Amino acid sequence: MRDLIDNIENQLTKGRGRWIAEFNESFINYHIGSFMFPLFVRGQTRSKGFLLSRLFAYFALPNYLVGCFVYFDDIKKDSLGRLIKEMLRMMKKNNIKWSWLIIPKETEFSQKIKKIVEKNDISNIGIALINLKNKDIITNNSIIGRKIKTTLRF
Amino acid sequence: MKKISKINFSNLGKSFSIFFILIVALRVILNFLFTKIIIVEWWILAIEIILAAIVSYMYYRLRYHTIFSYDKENFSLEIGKEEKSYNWKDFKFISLYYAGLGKIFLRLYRSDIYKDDYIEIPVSDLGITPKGVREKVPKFIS
Repeated sequence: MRDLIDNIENQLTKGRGRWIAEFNESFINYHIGSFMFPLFVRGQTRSKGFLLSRLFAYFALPNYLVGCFVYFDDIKKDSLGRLIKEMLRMMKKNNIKWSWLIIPKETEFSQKIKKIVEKNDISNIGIALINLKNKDIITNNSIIGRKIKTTLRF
Repeated sequence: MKKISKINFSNLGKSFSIFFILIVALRVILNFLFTKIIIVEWWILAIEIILAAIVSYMYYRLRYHTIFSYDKENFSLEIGKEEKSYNWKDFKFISLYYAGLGKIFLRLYRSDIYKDDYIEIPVSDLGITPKGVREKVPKFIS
């Protein structure tokens, strides 16, 4: 799990998601309410760049705050709902436009959880369930959610 | 107190380049004003390089050189002439901030991570492993 945290952190902070956002600050063991996230990486949609790209970013890109939460504990239907609620509350309080929630697991996720995630239609949270054994990734159907699959490698 | 300090060749190189260009430009201007010709000699270049190296090293020590000292309760950060001391217990959150071009800072937040009330320790300039220090510091602040 430690390797996976380092892997996700390295990918995001070294610019893997630069087409979506520039992630540049990472926290470990970050708490929101009763939930503890082993990794929280935050950034913004306006990239810094150099000269022309910086100028372009300044005039063309909105400066939204974004975040990526990684959660490890065994997740159940209720706890997933509470987790999303807590995230939404935190996002609203701190003016975060959208977030990713990545939930990796060594074993298979229950069908119930998979269905809940697939049917989830929250537009500002992208959820990804990652089965580390067979590298299967299930995301919710929002644009933000689908982007996780194309951005990160597990 | 444990002391960590490392010469940052990037900043040293930056100040050397600035002073070298300034010294050469000044010499060429003065040279031209008084003699109406520009003298190009190897020994003059050597003197300029040595002079720029001395002045830039002094400037680097006054402006950029970073010394980080810490024990279990306090730490101090000395950047150039400026030295500030802090207590570990005054901080609640820790993060690694990637500023680009290989620069990494350890950020210590006093209250809220969405407020600008933090200090930055330039871990990449000090030659400290960023992830190692991020794991060590929570033991001091908790």
